[in-house]
Amino acid sequence: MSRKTPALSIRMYRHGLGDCFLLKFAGANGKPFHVMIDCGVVLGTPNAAGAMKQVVEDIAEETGGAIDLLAATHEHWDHLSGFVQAKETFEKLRVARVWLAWTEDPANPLARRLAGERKRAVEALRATSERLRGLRPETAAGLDGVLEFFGAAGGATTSDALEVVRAAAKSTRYCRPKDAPVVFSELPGVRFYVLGPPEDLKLIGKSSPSKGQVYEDKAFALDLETAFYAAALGDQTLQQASYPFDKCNYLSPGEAQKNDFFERHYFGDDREEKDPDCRDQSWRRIDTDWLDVASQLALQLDSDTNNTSLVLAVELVESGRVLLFAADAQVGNWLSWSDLAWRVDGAPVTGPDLLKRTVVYKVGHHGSHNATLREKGLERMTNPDLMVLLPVDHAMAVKKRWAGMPFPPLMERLTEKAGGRVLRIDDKVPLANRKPPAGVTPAVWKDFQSSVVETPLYYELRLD
Amino acid sequence: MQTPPVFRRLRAYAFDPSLDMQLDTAVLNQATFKVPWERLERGPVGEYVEVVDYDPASGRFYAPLDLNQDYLLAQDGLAPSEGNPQFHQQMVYAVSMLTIRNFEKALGRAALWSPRHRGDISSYVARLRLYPHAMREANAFYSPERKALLFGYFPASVSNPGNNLPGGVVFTCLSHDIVAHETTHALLDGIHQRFTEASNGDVLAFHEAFADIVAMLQHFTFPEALRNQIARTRGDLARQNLLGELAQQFGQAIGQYGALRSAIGQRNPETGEWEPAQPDPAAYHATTEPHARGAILVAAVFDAFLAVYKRRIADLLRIATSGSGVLGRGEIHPDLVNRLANEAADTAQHVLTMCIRALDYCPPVDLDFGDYLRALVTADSDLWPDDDRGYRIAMIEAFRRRGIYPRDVRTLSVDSLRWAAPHMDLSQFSEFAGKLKLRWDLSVDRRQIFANMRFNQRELHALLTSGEVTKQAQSDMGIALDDDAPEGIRRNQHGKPAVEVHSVRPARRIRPNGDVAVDLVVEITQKRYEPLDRSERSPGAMQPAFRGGCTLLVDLETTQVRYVISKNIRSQARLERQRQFLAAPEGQSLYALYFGAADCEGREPFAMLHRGF
Repeated sequence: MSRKTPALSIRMYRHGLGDCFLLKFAGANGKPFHVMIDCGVVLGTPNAAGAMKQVVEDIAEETGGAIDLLAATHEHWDHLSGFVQAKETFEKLRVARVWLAWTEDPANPLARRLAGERKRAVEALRATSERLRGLRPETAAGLDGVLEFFGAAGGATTSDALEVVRAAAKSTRYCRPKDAPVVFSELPGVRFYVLGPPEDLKLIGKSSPSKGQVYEDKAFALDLETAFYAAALGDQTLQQASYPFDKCNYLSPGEAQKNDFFERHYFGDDREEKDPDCRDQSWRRIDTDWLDVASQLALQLDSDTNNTSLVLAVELVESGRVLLFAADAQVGNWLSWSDLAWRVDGAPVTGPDLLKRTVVYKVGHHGSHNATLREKGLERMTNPDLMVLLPVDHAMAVKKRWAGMPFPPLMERLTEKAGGRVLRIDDKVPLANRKPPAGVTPAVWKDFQSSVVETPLYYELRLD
Repeated sequence: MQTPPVFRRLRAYAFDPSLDMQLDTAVLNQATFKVPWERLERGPVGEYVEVVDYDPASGRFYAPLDLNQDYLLAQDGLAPSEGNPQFHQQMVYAVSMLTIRNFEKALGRAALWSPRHRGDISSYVARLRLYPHAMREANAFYSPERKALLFGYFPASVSNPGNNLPGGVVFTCLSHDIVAHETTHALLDGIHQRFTEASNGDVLAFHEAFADIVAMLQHFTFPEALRNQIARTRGDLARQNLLGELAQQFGQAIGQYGALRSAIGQRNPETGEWEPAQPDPAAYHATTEPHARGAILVAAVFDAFLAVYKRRIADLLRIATSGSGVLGRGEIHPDLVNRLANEAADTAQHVLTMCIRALDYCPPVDLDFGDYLRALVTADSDLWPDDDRGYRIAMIEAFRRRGIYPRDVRTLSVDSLRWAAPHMDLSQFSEFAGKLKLRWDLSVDRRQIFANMRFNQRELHALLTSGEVTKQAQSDMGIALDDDAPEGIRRNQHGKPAVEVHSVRPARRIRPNGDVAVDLVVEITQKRYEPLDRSERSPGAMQPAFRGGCTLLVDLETTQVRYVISKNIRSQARLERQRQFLAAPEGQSLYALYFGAADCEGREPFAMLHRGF
C-alpha cells in the first residue's frame, strides 16, 4: 500500500450559520475521492432553501455527482437542513457510504433510549413555548432558539433530514470510537478515526465547562420534566396527580383576588394603603418563574444533542498530519478523546496524539465558549502549521441573540495558535487584501494566502 | 402591665422531613425553635418577613396561617407535617427568623434588606417575602430584584431516592438548611449588594459558602440534635454526623447518596463508603464551579471550628478517662455528652459570630477568600483582643491547609493579616462625623434606621464630591475623583467622576481595656466600564463593569481611620485579572449563550447559579 499522502483540498461553504464541508483527495490512480460532512443552515436564514440548493449544486458540479463518503454529524438543523431543503439536487448525487454516529443507530438500545427522550422533550418543549409566548416572551424566544435546531414547528424536522441521509446509500455505518480506524481501498494513505460521541452516558450528559453538582441524574431530570410538563401542558389527569397536597385549605386565583390577605400581599396596587410595603405588589409577583425551568430542560436537550456529535480525525499517513472535524462536540465528548487509543500497524495511536498532529481544526459549535476544550483540547494542538476553519456568521448569531458566537476569548486564542491563519465564513475583507497579523512573517502569510481560493460561496483550502 | 414574652415557641424540623423516616434520627429532628416574639399577622407577616403562599404551577393560593390562634399558642404552633401547607408556612417563618436573629446578635444592630432600586431611586423594603411553593423544580433561590425567597418542590428521584418515597414530593421549604441558606443570601445582600457580581471566581462562591456556613453552624444551636450527635460520634465531630452536613433530603432526592453538601467528608460514589475530606492545597486553584469552590471555604471554617473544639474538650476527655484522654469502648457518659455539647455550642457560636462580624471588614467589591481571611482575623481581634482560645490561629491554619492565601501579605501571622491602619489624614471627618445620625440598635424602628443611613450617605457623598479630598486620600481609598480619573469611570451630571456611598453604619467593638467602642463602617465604590477585549472600544463590544472602592472603619470618638480596605479602581493588574476571569469558559454559561447574558446575570443571579447552568 502506498503511504504517499495525496493532494487535498477542503471547501468550507459560506452559505450562512451552519456547517457544510467538501473534502477532495486525489485518490488511487488519480481518481478523486470526495468526502462530504454535513449540509445545513440555521433556521431563520433568509432564502435558506435557495442557499442550500446553490451549495449542493456546487458539490454536484465539483464532484461530478460522486460522493465517496457522507458524514452527518448530529441531529441539528444547522447541520442537516440542506438534505431536505435541497433534497432533489442531493438525491441526484451518488453516495457510496453514509456514516452516522452510533447514537443514531436504531438497533442500539442506548441510542434508542436517547432518541426517545429527545423526541419527547422536543414535543413537550414546543407545547411549552406555545403556552409561554404571551406570558413570558423572552423565555419563549429562548426556547424557540433551542428548538429551532430540530427544525421548524410543523415543518420538516431533523429526523426527516436524517432519513434522507440514510436513504442516500445502501448501508449506513454507525460509528463508534472503539472501531479501528478505516482506510479505503480507493484512498490509500488516509486514515479515518472516529473520536466521538463517547459511549458513556455520563460524558454525553456533560456539556458545561463546570457543571453544578445538582442535575446529574437522568432519571431525576425526567421526573422533573413530568411534573413540569403536567402543569405547562395543562394536562388535567397529570395535573391532578402532580398537586403537592392531597387535601388542603386553598383558594383558586379568582377567590384569592377577592381575599383581603392576598389582595394586600400579592395582587395589591392600592396607593392609599396604609402600609407602604403593601401598596404596589406588581414587582414582587412570581406568576411565571416556575416556567423558567423549561429553559433548563431545553438547554439540557441542546447540549445532549450536541454531545452526540460524530467527530472525525482524518490522518494523512505519510506526513502524520491530521484534520479534525469536531462537529458541535461539547465538553463531555472532548474529554472522552483523552482516553482513546488504537493500535495501528502495531504502534499505539492515542486521542491526544491526534490532537498534537492536527493541522486543520474545524471549530466546534461555531466557536461558542463550551465547544472547544482548553487544556485537553486546543492547547494540545501544538503543531506550528495549525490552520482553523470556523463556520460562523456572527451577524446571524446576533440576530438569533447568541452574541457569544463566536466567543471572543476563544477567537483570540485560535488566532494566536494558528498564527492568524483562521478562515471565518463571515469575513468581509477578502483574504488577499488582509495584512499578516502581528508576529507572522510575510512569507508565511503569503504562503497561506496562496493556498486559499476564495469565492462568495466558499473558501477552498489546499494542502500539499 | 404584662410584658410580652421574649420568645414565641414554634415546632419545626431541625433538619428536614427525611430524618423522620429513620428511627435513630426521628427523635432529634423534632425541634422547638425559640423565635423572637413579635406582633404577627396572618401569613405569618411580621417585622422582617412575610409568608405569601402562592403555588402558581398548581394555580392554588394556600390559606395563610394565623399563629395567634389560642390552640397554636398553647401548643407551640402546628405539628410538623409534610402534607399541611400551613405548617410549611410556619417552618419558613421560624427558620428565617432564627437566622435573622443570629445575624443581629452577632452584628449588634438591626438587619436591613437591600433597598429596591428603580433607576436612581432606591427605597426601603421592610419585609423579605417568602414563597414556600413558588416553583416545581429542585431549586430554591433568593431574588435580589423582588426581595423574595422562592422555594421549589419536586418529585424525588425514582431510581435512587434515598430515604424518600420514589417520585414522592420533596419540599425545599421544609429543609432547615435550605431556608437558612437562602435567608442568609438575603441578609448578606442587605450588607454587601455588590457581592452578587462575579468579578472573580470567589465572589459568588463566597455567597454560597457564607450561606452554608451560617446554616451549618446553626445546627449547633439545637440542643437535642447536638447531644444526640455528640453521643453518637463519642464527641468526635470529625466523624460523619448530621451537624457538619447540609440538606440531607435534597441530596438524597436528587439521587446523591447522602447530603447535598458536607464540610467533613462524603460518600465515595464507587464504594458507597463515607470518607473524611482531606484538605487539598491545590483544590482552591483547580476548582471553579461556585458551589464546589465555596465548599472549600466552608470546609476551612468548619476545620477551624473542629480544631478549637478539640482543644477545648481535651481536658474534659482527660478528666473522664483518668488522664489518658483515650475513651473506652461503648457509649460515653451522659454528663460528658452534656459538657461536650456545651463546648461545641460555645465554639460554634464564636465561629459564627466571627464569620458574620467579618462582613463589616470586607472590601465592598471584588472580594476573594484571602480578603475574607484577613477580615476574619481583624474582626475577631477587634472583638476579642486576647485570642486565648486560638480561634484566629486555627482559622489561619485551616485556610493555609487549603491553599487560600491573601494577596500582598508578607507572612501568615495574625499581625500581618490584620488590615493595616493607614496613615490617612481624614481630619475632614471630624466635622462630618458630628453630623451623622447613628442610632442603629435593636430598639430603633428599622424604617428610621434606613432613613438615617440615607441621610449619612448624602452627607458623606457631599464631602466626597466637594473637591476637597486630597490626592493621597483618594489613592488610599482606591478611588479617583478628579478629572484625571480613568476615562471609563462613570461621570455624574456635573461631568465629574461619579462615586457611590454604599453604606454608613455603626459597628460595636471592645477596646483592649474592655470598653465598648463604636466604629463607623463606610463603603465607597466607583464603577468603570472597560471592554472585555482590551483592544476593542466599540459601542457593540462587551463592556463589563469594573468596580473599585473601599471600606473604611472609623473610630467615632477619635475620628481616626482605623482601617482602609480598598480595591483600587485604577489598578491595571486587577482589571486584567477580572478580564481573564470573565473570558475564561468557567465564567460563561450555556444559558447566557441562548438566553442572553443580561437576562442571566442581571435578573436572577441566584436562580441560575442554583440550577447549575
